[in-house]
Parts: sequence; C-alpha cells; structure tokens
Amino acid sequence: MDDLLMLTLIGVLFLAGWGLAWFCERLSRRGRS
Amino acid sequence: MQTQFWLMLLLFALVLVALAWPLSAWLVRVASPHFGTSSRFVQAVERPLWRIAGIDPASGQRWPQYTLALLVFNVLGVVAVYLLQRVQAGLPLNPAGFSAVEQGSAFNTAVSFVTNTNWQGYAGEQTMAHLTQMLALTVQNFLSAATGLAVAFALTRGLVRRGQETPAGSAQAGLIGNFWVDVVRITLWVLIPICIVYSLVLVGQGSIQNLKGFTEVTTLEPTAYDAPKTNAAGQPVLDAQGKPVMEHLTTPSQQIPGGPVASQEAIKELGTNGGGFFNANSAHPFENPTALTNFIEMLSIILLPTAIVLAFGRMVGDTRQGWTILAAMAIVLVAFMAVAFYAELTPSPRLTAAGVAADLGNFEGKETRFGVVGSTMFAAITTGTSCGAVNAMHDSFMPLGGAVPLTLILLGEVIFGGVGTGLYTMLVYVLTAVFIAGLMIGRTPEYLGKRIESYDMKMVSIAILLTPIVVLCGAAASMALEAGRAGISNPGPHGLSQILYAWGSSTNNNGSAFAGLNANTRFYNLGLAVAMWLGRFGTIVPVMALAGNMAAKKRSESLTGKMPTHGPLFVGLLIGTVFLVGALTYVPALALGPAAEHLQLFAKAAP
Repeated sequence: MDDLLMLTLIGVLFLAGWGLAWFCERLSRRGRS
Repeated sequence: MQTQFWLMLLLFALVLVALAWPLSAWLVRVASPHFGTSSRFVQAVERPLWRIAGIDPASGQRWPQYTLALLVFNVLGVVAVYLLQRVQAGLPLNPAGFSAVEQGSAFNTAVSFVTNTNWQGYAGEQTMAHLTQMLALTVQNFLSAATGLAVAFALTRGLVRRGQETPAGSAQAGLIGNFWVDVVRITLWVLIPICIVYSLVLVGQGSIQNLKGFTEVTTLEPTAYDAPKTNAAGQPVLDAQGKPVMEHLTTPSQQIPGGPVASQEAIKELGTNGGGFFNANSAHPFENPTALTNFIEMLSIILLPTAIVLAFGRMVGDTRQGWTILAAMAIVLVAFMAVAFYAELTPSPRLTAAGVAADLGNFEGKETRFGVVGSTMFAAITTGTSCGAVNAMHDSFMPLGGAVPLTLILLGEVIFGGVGTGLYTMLVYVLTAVFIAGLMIGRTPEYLGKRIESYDMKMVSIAILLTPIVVLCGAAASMALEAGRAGISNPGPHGLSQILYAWGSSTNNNGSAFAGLNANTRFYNLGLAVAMWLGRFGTIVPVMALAGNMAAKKRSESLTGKMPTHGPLFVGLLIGTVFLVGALTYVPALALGPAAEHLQLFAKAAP
C-alpha cells in the first residue's frame, strides 16, 4: 500500500514539473500574441 | 596555521585553474553538434547507442521538447532507484543481507540522488546493498550531473544563437540542442573518463574497492561503550520515565565494512553529488584516506563548476564573460572560507574553561588528518558548490563557522554551484543584475547582444523566488508542527539552525546536513523529497524556457551604448545582486539561528 502511495507521489512530482513547464509555455504564447 | 591556510588556498587556486582551463576547451567540443564527426572511435561507440534508442543525433529540440525529455528521464530515474531499494533483499551483491529500504526513506533517497542532492537520511553501510549502491546511487550520480551540465549547455546555446539566421517559424528557430545527445556525450566523454583515473588514484591512496560484506577483526584492546538495553524481542527496555535503560558493554572485535567505495567516491565529488558510501561521508578513512586525497577531493568538487564557467566564455565568443562570473564566485568563496577558518581558530569558550587545549582551534567534529584548515576549506567548497560531501561535522563548527556553509547554501548554490547548475543559476542572477543596471541607467537591458524583456524577467523571477519560498515555508512548518520539532536534538537557536539547514540543503540540492537533526522520519522524508524536486526542477524549467526564448531572439552585434558585462564593475554589481536578492531573504532566520547562538555562547562565557 505504501509502495503505491510513493509511486503515486512520484507521478505527482512529475506532473508538478510538467505543469510548471506548461505554465511557462503559456506565458510565452501570451507574450507573442 | 594562518600561513598554512593562505598558502594552501593559493596552491589550490593555481592547480584548479591549470586543470579547469583545458577542461573547459574539452567541454566546448563535447557541447558542439559536430562533436566526434571526424573520430572513428567516437562514431563506433555512439552509433549503436543512437540506433538502439532511436535518436537522430543531428536533430535539435525546442525548449518544451528538451524539458519534457529531461523530466521523463529524471522521473524514470526516481522510479528505478526506488524499486531497486525496495527489492534489494532478493537481488545479488548483497553480502550483508540487507532487507528492503523502508518506503519513505527509499522515496526520499530516490528523489535525492536523481536531483543531485544526495541528502541521506540513512547510514549507507548499514542500509544499502552493493548492487543498490552501484546500480541505483552511483548511476544517478553520473546522470544527475550530466543533466545539470546539459541544462547549462542549453542555456548557453540559447544566449549564443543568432536568431536572425533562423527566421521565426522555420524548422531551426529556437533549437537549443538535443537532451539525449547531451546526456550521453557528457557521461561518456567527460564524466566516465575522469572518474576511471580518479578512482585509481583514490585506490592508490588507500580507498577501498571490493564487493565484500563485513569483515570481523580483533582490535588491539577491547572497546567499551554504552548501548540501550534490549529485551528478548529486540525492543529497548524503558525505565519508569520512559527513557531507554543503558548498559555498559565491551567488545574485543570490530566489523569493518567493505564495498565498491572508490568508484562511487570519484563521481560523488566530480559530479557535485555528495552522497557517501559511508554515513561518515568523506570523514571516513576509506572514502578520504589522506591529506592528499582531501586536497584532490576538494579540487574535484569544484573542477567542473569552474570549467563550465570558462567554457561558457569560450562558447559565447568572449572569454572575459566567463572570467567575470568566475571572479565574482571566487571572491565570495574565499571571503566565506576565511570567515569559517578564523571562526574555527577560536575554540569554544566552554571547552577552554574546562581545560581543553586551545592551540589547535575548535577541533570538535574534525578529523586529525585534516585539521581546521582542511576541514574549513572543504566545508566552504562543498557548500558553495552543491556537492554536500562532508569531511567534518558542520554541526560541531562554532556558530559563525557553521553559519558559513549554511549561508553559502542559502545563497542558492551560485558560488560555483553544482555541475552546470552553478552556471545557469548564476546566469539568472547575471540577467537580474543587467536588468537592474538597465533600469538605473535608463537603457533597454541587454546581455550578450540579446534584449532582456518582460517574459525573460518572469522566468528569472520564478527561478529565483521558488527556492526561498520552499525553504522558508518548510522551515516554518517544521517549527510549527510536532512532527518537525521531534527531529531536533538541540533546543534554542541551534535547533532552528538544524531545521533551516535541512530545508536549505535539500531545496538547493546540496545534501549536506547539520548533523543532529533526526530526519529519517515520515515527515522529513516526504517533505524534504518534495523540496528537493521543487528546488531542482522549479529552477530548471524556467531556465529552459529562458533558453528557448533567448534562442529565438536576434543577437545584436553593436556594442554602442551598451553596459559592459565584464570587468571589476560588473563583478561588484553581480556580487551585490546575489547578496541583495539571495541573502537578504534569509537574514531574519540567520539572525535567530547562528547569530543568536554566537551571542549566547560568548555572552555566557564573558565574566
């Protein structure tokens, strides 16, 4: 059970990084439009 | 001792520059898209790798692709390291028969080694099988260092690229290299060759390299020690107050651990990773056997962070740019090193009052083969860079001596910093300095011919602000919650320093610890792991966005009316910016921690 929790947390960390990248990309598009 | 310190520092600087200058030229070649095209050997090694991985080494990536590749690669690394720790009991090369690492600790360690932090909440020689040490931890030492250098290459390419040669919308616009190619080439042609030679030097000096478990040896005389008394179930026996009952024991033998130490030690220092095979890290004689290895280890920690800054100067076509950044880093590091040295020359007034000899300075927590000079230099270098290896216990430094590693970490790992991370984080500060100066003189800020605009400063702001937010919120939560306070071993200002150090070290991906905080708990294992990840990728992602945005910009070659970004004036401006933005954030916390402890110690000692 704990293993599943930890692997889920790893997924959440990835999404946090990807989410920040998405946010930065959105900001750059807004700057260009 | 003072002469010894300054002579050692001079020798160190000379050897460092003599090694870093040629290495910087090699880094420039490795970063080139044309690397190895005329070498049959390079082609023979790389071509099968590209074929297996399905990569076209000539294809470039824009920043979102580069960043996604980097994130996927790193998250897969976390999964691999986590699973290896969890199943190590059933795998070979586990001579001591270690069981699976507890889930929270395994998660913390996996994130820690992938983010180049190497914070260790466990004792390596009592927890990790040799296979885990080699296949999980050492491999990540190489790959996390390669990731840092790759980001530095990408940002430099973004600054160098002449946008006007590749019109917006064309296939070549905004390309900043290929992550897979960068990681493979840095690992194969920079890190591995140096580490092979380095490991052999360490073995020659007495570091061990074997696959043995524990060897029991009979000591010259029995060792007496106190240990908690345990019942038949192996649980500690408690007295009426709930405290463990201690018993006095003697033993005629000692368990000496074996393992592949030298190979891990080499990349631990060279990659500014810092995670030791042993709990005592570089204070252990098998990791750092002699004064000579101590000198070499200090050199190897700072070698790549120095070389990449000089390589930056070469890549942008103006070596003065590299020397300017290096000068700013060196001035701050030497100043901090001197503060630590002079603080440690003075022993604790309480020990002096107790009749302990004062002529060697504050010797608590230091190895006799390194002394105050070797320990304080190491402490400043390992925390100025984001290495985190330790050869002395920073917790035992005098309050001001301990404030030096703490402050160097909190500055954001820009005083040389980690492999690659030092350069790209310092470049974020360079852009801030140029922006502030541009506002002051009323001109559009430009760096290396590229205009710094609103979007760039937004990315710079995210990169600079995210780390202190995580550090201060984490430290505040630890002080507010019982789970956080439970780990403190010293009450008062020193306890605050322990907590601030833990969050600062994790978020800035240093990994050293103010020994004394019990961080192997669910609260710290999970909290610090999240901090490490946010500190690492919360900086990398905006830096990559910055690289992509810069790559698409036109580069102006005209120097008329531009503020020069080299020379003593800019060095001063850069140092001022680092301190204003980086250090002032933490002044209240530093005042309540080491500063208050220093005043308490010497005020009580005064008659």
